[in-house]
Amino acid sequence: MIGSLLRYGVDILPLLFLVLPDPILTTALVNMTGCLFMGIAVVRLQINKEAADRARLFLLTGILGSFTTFSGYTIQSLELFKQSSVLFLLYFFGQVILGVLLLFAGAKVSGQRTRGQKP
Amino acid sequence: MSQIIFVAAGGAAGAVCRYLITILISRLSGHSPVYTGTVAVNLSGSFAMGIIFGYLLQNPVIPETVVLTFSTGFLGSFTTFSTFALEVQNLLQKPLKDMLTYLILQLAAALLLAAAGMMAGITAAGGSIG
Repeated sequence: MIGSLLRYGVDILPLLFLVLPDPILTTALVNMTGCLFMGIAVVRLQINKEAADRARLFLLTGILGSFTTFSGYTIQSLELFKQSSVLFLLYFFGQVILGVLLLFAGAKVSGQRTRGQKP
Repeated sequence: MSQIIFVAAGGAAGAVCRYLITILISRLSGHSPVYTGTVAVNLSGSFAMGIIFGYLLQNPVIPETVVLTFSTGFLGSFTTFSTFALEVQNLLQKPLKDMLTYLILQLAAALLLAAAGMMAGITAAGGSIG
């Protein structure tokens, strides 16, 4: 619920609408930030195992799972496919590659910041 | 303001359904890292999104509340990209075959299912494909 509301918030944010006039780009933005936070959160939760189980469900399954969307991604990829195959390839594979990279980056930063803390 | 209620209701239901399907599939597949609940929700969600989208293309008079509840809310929440990326990252440490299966299963099949859903939606709304 919180995740989907945040995503809807990004969808209708008036300022963002000026920068990203196309809903196709908001989906990409939501997915990429979601991947970054997923990387951060996964490492945080590995380090702090005690609170992890409930927090995992709330944060990962609940908020981030709902914030990012796969069905929007596929349907908008199809839309782009009709317009241009180059844009389609960029959007379709770009999001997968960038998403995984951002997830790695988030995990790395999160791991460094928490290093030294007692588990 | 009332739009928020529709997105929230659909979103909450979507997340809960995703969670239940994840548990179910995980048990059925013997906790396989390839055939996960994420694959199941993303594929079925893409198909359903295709139906709604195709229907809307043909018949754009569907009330906004329905779109907000089922498309933005439920399906947006039901399917997930961040867990997909997380599972890809996990599979990077497994045999390459596993990751390729996972990626092809999800990317190619999701596109095909979304396209099939779109055609079904257009047909259901009384249109013809061509």
